[in-house]
Amino acid sequence: MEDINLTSNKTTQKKQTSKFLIGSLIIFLVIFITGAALVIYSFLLKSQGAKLEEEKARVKSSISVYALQKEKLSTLTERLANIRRIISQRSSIDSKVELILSTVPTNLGIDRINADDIKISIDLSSSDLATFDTLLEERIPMLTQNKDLGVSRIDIGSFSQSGSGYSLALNFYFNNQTKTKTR
Amino acid sequence: MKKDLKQSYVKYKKQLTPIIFLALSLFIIFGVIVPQLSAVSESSRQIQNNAKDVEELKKTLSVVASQNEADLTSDLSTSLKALPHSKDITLIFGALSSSAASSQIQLREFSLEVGGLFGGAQASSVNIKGSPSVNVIARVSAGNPFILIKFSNEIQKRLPLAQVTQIDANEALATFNISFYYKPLDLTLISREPNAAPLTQADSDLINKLKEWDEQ
Repeated sequence: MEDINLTSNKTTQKKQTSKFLIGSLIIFLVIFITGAALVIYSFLLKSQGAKLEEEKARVKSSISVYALQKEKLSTLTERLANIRRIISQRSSIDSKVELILSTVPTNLGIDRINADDIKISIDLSSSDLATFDTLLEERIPMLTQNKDLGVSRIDIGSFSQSGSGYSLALNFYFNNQTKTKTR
Repeated sequence: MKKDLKQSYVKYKKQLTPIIFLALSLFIIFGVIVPQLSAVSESSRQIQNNAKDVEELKKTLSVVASQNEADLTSDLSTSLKALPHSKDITLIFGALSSSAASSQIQLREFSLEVGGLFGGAQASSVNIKGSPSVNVIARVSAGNPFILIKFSNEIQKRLPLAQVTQIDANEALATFNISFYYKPLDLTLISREPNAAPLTQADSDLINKLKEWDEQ
């Protein structure tokens, strides 16, 4: 005996159509609720944004009462920043000269000093030749060990005898980026 | 034609409702949800920025309201003396004189480059980037070289801020090239700044140091 299918085509189709309808309705409802929720949320955010704008305007208005103090404080801060920068970047020729002169034995006369950021030249004189020896053999080498001074080269400009005395010209060259001390 | 339409409607009416629902869903997605998502994102970003601005403004209000007017004026005056907004010859002369007196040296003469009239040398040089300066040549009686060093040291602990750029000393006379710094004020920029920060401890220390130099 053949199997008899009691379910007709029409009933199957009806069930499928029903599922499709319910599915599309669910999708529509979900999307609708999502859209509505987003619209409400967006409205709430705009309201919050407007309140913040109001508060911002209110605080700005309060600050405007202290406009003069604010300007003074801002000017002071700006000045201090520039002052700090200048002080930290100032070179210190006098410190370098002082360090160099402190190595010169006291019985050597200092006839001339010429100093700038790159080079310091000193002219020395004495009748005692041994003092020059002390300077060149002991004091100058000690000076070169001072890394803070930043001496890149030392040379003898001239050495001459005049009567019973001797004259020596020394040149000290510096590494420009080195600062001896910051004030 | 009408009969065909009617027949088609009868045949497909059960599928029509779901299609309408799906079409409406698509409309809501592209017409409402997508634009709202970008609007919500933009609003959130603006709220975040505004909240931050309000916070900063409240801090500024707190800072400016708590300032002692007298102290602020005094500190500002000192800072403007240290770095004037224009070339101040009176201050420069005062600094040179008091440095000479302090190092017990005689100030013979001084000259400064005020400005070229046409072409020629520039009115001010810039030794430190961003800070114009007035070049001054000061001649002092020479003596003990260490006294000359003391003068050089003293001038750099006076107001306005200065830097000795060259020393040329022989037995009779010493010449100092000194740069005195100044910096014009940009009041437009300062007034446009919405916020103000309180002075830090480093700022207070610097002001105290400048006041010490001012008293010398």
